[in-house]
Amino acid sequence: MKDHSASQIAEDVVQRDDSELIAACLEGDSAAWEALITRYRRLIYSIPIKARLSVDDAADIFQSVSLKLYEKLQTLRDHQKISSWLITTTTRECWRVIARNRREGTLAVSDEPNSLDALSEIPASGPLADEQRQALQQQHILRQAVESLPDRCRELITMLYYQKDELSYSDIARRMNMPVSSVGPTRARCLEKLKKLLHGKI
Amino acid sequence: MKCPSFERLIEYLDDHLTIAEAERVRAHLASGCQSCAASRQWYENARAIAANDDSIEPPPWVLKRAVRIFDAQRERAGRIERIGSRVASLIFDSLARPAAAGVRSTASANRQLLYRAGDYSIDLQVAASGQSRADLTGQVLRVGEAAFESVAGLPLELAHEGETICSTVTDEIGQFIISGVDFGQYDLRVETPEGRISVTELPVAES
Repeated sequence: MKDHSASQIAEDVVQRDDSELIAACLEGDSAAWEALITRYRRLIYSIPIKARLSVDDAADIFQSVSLKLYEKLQTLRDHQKISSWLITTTTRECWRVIARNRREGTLAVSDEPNSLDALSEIPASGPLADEQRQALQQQHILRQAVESLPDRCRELITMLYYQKDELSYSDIARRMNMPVSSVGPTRARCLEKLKKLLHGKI
Repeated sequence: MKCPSFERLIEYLDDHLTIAEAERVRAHLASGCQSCAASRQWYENARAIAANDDSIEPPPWVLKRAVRIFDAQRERAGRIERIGSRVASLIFDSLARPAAAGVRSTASANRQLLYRAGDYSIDLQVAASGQSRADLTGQVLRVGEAAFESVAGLPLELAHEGETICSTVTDEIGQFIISGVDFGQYDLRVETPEGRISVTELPVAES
């Protein structure tokens, strides 16, 4: 298994869409598998964490979902939305684990600080509300596009829009090692690249 | 005012313009410019999605473990596909065993033959069942396997001079019986998950 740097993975992410990656996996391309799992890592992992499962349970679910994905590659090749299948499969795995924890009396509650936003909590049973599914998918699509940006843009966009603490232009300029006056124009250029990458999906 | 630059529009939407500058952009948007409205919608939507992103990054070891699935599964499959077909070697023949000195050897009713090919062994017994016939019983075993997974339900064929005399299948512990085999020399072929094993010149005769 080759060790891929972030930029190599980003390149794979840019060049191939889901069905291309799956086709490559079916031909034995292990780099394609790595790119596929990396692409969906947050989507899969977030679901059990937001369902208040422990890191261990979330890790096990991540593994079992990945294994199911591997086994279903042939079927999923022509599937319209892998993200949708992954959300459904991961949610089911969560119910299974939650039910098992209840039976075993295991209080496996995560001590991760979770937002108590109604939209962000995953219910213990029943399918996800459409809003929740859509939120998960949109977050995934945007993140994936950001991760496909060239390094500097990816850093800048992440700093500007994905940090919880708001950073000033001078903070950013310092961290990115660029003049403060460049931040604005660079941001605009990066956002235009991002918009192109999104192909109207967002 | 003609359309502000994308950069300026964003500065406006992020409240980074002076009051005067902001007013000019606001007026332009209010005038109904479609392309600026579209850019505005795109930016505000993307910005909101990012701001509300509560996705969680898995620990690196979790990701690595999942990535490893691919090669691990393929390795398993590969082991099964790699071996083609092989001829088993005779490693024990009870008939060839020298009688202990001073012990009157009695013709044993059964002849035992043990063959080995790779990880598999075939343990055979030939028991005469009449003047010119014998029953062949045997067991296929795989080295190191306690639960008989690889040896259960394997197709077997007994052939004489190229012609199949009998086809059968091993049972759940790899055993099989072929009764009423005329004396002669035979080939026995077993299809294992790892390929075909052939026993050649299998002697079915009076012991």
